[in-house]
Amino acid sequence: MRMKTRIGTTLTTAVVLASAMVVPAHAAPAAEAPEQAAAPGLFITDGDDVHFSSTPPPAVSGHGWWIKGTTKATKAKVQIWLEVKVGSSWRVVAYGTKTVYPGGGSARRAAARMQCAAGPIARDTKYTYRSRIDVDLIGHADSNEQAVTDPLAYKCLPVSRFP
Amino acid sequence: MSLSSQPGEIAFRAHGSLRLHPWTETAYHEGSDADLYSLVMRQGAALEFADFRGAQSPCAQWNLAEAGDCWVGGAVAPELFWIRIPVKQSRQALPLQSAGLVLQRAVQKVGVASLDLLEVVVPLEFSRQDPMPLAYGRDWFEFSDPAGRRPATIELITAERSWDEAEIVAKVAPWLGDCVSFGPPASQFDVVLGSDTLDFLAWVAEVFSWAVADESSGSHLQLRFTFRAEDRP
Repeated sequence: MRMKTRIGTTLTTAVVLASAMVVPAHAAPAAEAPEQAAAPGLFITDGDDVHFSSTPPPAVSGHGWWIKGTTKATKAKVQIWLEVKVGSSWRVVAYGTKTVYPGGGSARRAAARMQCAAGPIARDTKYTYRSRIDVDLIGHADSNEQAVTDPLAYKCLPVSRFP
Repeated sequence: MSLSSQPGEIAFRAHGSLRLHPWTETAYHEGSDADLYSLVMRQGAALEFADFRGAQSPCAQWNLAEAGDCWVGGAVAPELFWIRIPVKQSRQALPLQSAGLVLQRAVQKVGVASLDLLEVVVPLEFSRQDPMPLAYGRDWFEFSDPAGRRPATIELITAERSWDEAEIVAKVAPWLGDCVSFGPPASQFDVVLGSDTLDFLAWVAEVFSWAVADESSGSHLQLRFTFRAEDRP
């Protein structure tokens, strides 16, 4: 799908590869779009599914990073929230942030990790987790869209509260 | 790290040595952070084998959980590398060949690896029912440089073992063709492998997992390929 979006006086053609995940040149919220801000161009908010960590103690974790498309930005603040499903809503159980160059290399990923809480878990009980990832381009306006990963269930008791 | 994987995950762990290419040695010396995780992520998404937030494809077969390697410093054990690959739940068959291919390309990009040991953990729930597509892999790998052949042993490890080695050999031999030669039946398989590349070994693992799936009630099969140092190419 091709999408044309007008931002200020700049006409940007965006090739949308995955509707919710490739962040097109949408108008950014006021707080992120000062009048003189450069057009954001294209970039991808990326991340892996929440997974059970192989490194003890038992934990679930997720990573977030960004891939440069046409944007002139060179760095971005990546934030990732790990969430557990409670009823019909989601509760944050861990958070991570890092300001990084694009590409997803070892120094270019933000991570959120929650150590499983101690306590009994009924047989066959699993808790459903997902991550929410936000990328804020440094010095460039961008949209407030966030990537949300697929929910996955693990036998990992969530922490009761997160600061 | 133990190579225990989560349900529905493929895992690889390799021991051996890696000689960096001159250009990668320079790149890492200058601070490159291209670790195995990011290389597999990029190549897997580019080939549309892997599914990430920004690269979702109807063809995707797997995504990525964790990885460690010896060249960027992610590995905490003396492995060459380890990696955990969750299989897409919609898959009807193990994506071992695509995972092995991407892994081979990623390692090959970094340097020249020499394997002493490769362990592959395979979730048997995804083992294929129809072995016929395995013939394409056999025909692909049979047309290979004979100089790449390498003696090895293969061990099969499951939670519950209920097979006979001779039966397994009889079952896999037609599908492995000339790519694998078997010695006399023993508790482990003495073989000559047509290659020691990761894509080849992943394909061999797929053939064995198909053969074992009906014979085991375990959820995972662990294959251990052991190479003798003196047989290194």
